[in-house]
Amino acid sequence: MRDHTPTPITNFNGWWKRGSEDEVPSDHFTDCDNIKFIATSSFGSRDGIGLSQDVLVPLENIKRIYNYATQSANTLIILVKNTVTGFGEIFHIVDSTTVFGPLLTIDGMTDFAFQPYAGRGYISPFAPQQATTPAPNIGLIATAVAGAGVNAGLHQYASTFVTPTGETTASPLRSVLVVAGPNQQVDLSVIPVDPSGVATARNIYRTIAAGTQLKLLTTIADNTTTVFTDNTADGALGANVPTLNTAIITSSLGIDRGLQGQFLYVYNGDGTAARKAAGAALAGTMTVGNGAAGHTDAGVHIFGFVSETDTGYLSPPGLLTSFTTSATLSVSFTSVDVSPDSHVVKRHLVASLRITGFNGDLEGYDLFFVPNATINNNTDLFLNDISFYDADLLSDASHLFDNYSEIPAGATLGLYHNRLCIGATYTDISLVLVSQVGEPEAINQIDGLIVVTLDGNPVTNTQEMRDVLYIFKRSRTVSYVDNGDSPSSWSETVVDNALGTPVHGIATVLDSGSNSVDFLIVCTYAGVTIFNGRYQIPELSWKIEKAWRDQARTSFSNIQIVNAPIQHEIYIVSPDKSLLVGNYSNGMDSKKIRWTPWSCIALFNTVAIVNIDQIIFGSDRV
Amino acid sequence: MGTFILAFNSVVSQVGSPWKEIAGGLTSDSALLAAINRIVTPAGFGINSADIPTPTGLNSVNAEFSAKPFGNSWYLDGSVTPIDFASLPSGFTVISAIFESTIKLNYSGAGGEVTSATGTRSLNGNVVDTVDVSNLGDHFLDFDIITNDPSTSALDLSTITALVSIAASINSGNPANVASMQVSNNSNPYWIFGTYSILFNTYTINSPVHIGDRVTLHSDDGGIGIILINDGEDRSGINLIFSGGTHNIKTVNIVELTDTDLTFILDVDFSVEETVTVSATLKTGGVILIKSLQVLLYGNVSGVYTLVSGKTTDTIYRHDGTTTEVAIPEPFAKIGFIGN
Repeated sequence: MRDHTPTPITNFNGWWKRGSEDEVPSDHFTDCDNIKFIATSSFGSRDGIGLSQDVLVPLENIKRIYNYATQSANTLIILVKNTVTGFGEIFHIVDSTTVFGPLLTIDGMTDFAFQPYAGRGYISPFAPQQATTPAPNIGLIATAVAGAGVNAGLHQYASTFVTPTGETTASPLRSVLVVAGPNQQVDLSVIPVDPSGVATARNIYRTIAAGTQLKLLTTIADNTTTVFTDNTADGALGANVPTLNTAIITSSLGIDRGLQGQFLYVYNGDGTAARKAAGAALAGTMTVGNGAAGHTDAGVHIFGFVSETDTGYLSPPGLLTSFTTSATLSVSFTSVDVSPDSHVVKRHLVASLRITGFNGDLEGYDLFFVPNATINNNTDLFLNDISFYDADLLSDASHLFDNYSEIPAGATLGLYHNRLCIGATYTDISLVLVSQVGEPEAINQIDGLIVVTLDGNPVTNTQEMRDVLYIFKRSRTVSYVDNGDSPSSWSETVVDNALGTPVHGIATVLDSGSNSVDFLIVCTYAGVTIFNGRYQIPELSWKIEKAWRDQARTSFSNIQIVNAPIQHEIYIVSPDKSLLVGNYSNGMDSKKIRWTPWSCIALFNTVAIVNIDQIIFGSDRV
Repeated sequence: MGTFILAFNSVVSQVGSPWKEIAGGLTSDSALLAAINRIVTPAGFGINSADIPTPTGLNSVNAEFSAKPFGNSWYLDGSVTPIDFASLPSGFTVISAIFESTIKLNYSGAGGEVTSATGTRSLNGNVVDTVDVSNLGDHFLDFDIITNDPSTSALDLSTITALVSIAASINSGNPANVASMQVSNNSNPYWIFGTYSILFNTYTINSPVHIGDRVTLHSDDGGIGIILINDGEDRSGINLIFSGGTHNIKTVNIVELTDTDLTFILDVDFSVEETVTVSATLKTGGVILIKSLQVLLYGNVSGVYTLVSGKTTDTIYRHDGTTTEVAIPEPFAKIGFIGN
């Protein structure tokens, strides 16, 4: 010790978790927890957390938090899982003492995508779903043979695969007619076997005579036998065939996609319940007749009404009726049915040009909005004395026929060129629905679609940066540019064929979007990376590469990241529900950023940033 | 409803309501269990008087007497209502039992005094050691009797014919005239305490136990502080054993560790149907003397929180109308080796 020379450490640059412990630079920590970085070289204990709600019954079991910037305040929109019903419920926290909700309650909603737009909030429920063993894709062969037991009549057969985790849905049906007499036994052959070899058994289902419900006939306790003799009476059949595939492949990565049978919802921000976005055409009838003296281009016209909701959504034309107008008279409409949708606030008259040789197809002609022909409520049953010339019909309404009246739920919501983008629906995980400009609920089912390269992975994010739409999958990034035409005509450009991000893996910045200055901070399987049109290497998380890659890949969709530019910090919720904090006050690059994990009794499950620099955490029970 | 199996190796006692619901969670299905520091107490204890020979007035007498429990019921942990043997928790195996008391030997005679007494102690017929005479006074002898039979299980206790027997050689001096001899219970209660392994106890879960739920192991009498929490590779400390494997309670999840309380946050989920065993292992070996163990489930601490600049504690929701201030879990930083 006499000759020992002190080694002063003047800078502490955070956690280092790559390579062996001996390789950790002396100005880095081999391990740390719950520290914060002070100024350029010091550190201390992290700040404590406090309560965000000052109410008698605070929300619990928080699954997801988003910042919700309304027109007058910066608020929170929150998903909780009701511990009694198990349903997902969405609440709106306006401030520490004001909570609205539940705004929306959906069974099976464990997560949701959210996009504020013009003060409203668009909500899309989703849940991670694991891949399943496919159901048999061919039917067995059923032949009536000599014997007894099976009731006379038409029977249908199908089979399923039974795996260690569950059972698939049914194969295609095969029918056989059993005639009363000597041939009341059925030989089954070519019973499908699971080509993946996962199945440990197969169930055979059959309907009763002339029935439609498949019921369990027998279980073949292997994946090899392909024949079975059926001599079972209808009364001995068992349980109904499963309607959901529960044969989960546990080793597969989960797929985040919109909930089956669910839709995009819109919330007005005022505490009223969220409702399904878009809407159906007006249904019913109306009476069209000549009005007072006026003018039209005399001849056959098709008339109808388009309803408008309080969010500005225009429905497809309804109440379509043909009428032959007079050149010197206006047109009047009576008994105009109202919409059952309480959010409809207006009904606009639409009309075709004068039709020569009308073929009777009411939806076969272009329709246009008639100027100054609007019922400004959803109660009046009339609109009288409308005069117009065909030359006045300039604003097309025909495209409304092609819009979704119910918009399927997706796993991601984003904005691009004032269009709402919805990605990863239940039926099409590579599909992105793109709305009309300025009409987030008007999505054309024909040309409002973008199909990202199919690779078995779902779309996870849509993000605008530098006038380009970037679409992310978890291991792929592509881009599109608005060419002024419909979205389906936009061409895809591959940005990266290996790197992508999970659904909450792009840093939210402040209380707005995700784009800070001119780059994104993206969580990829490789690390936390700056993305400015390409992924920068080395990653920001280079110093803690091992810690990052040790995270369970199957739980990557639990990652959520926010960027707090005021604090110069990145907060990342890890799959294990701890927090990873990166301080970049010394510079945002792989060497200067300082990392530390944070832990808390209340586990970190979701994070958001509101009011410029207020960090909000949500903690759940599961 | 499912079952929750609690097992705690080398723990003296377990108590009633071991999984106690604070704000949603678990309750015990065993109302018979209460929390004091006795483990197993015979409902009654008797002397096999038939084994006591009648003194014959000699200077010395060889007396043999034995003690055994009578009846078939026992108190568990001091509960008021005795439990019959059939109701003892399955697997309630005595690792080591100590029977400690004094047995009074009264005698009367023609003025002689007992001057010495020696004896050997047997358990179920097997000589264990020499019995000390702790008190040699007027007309009585107190034998300190300590038994230790690690092989006896709770269920075996019902069949014990002689939990302890004393073969005593009593020297009453000269002239000796011990006219009668009677063995009776001393005023001290007979009770058994010691170190037990409660291998299985069954509790009913009313709702799943989830990540984020807070659990406290509590001992009125202390001893928990001996548990060495170590989430290193050797995995000593407190373990939760369930179908998914052994889950070590990590240091980072420990809220409080005192001699009487260990509070930790579950970072693993147990569904209603899950069977979970709580076990303690010691890095250094030995015995954990926790005379009563209470396991409290604090319910959930979930909620919406905010980071507060300059705050030195974490404030946690309890969802029972209260909140709790807890320390920020172990802030620390370690650096590697410095120098050549």
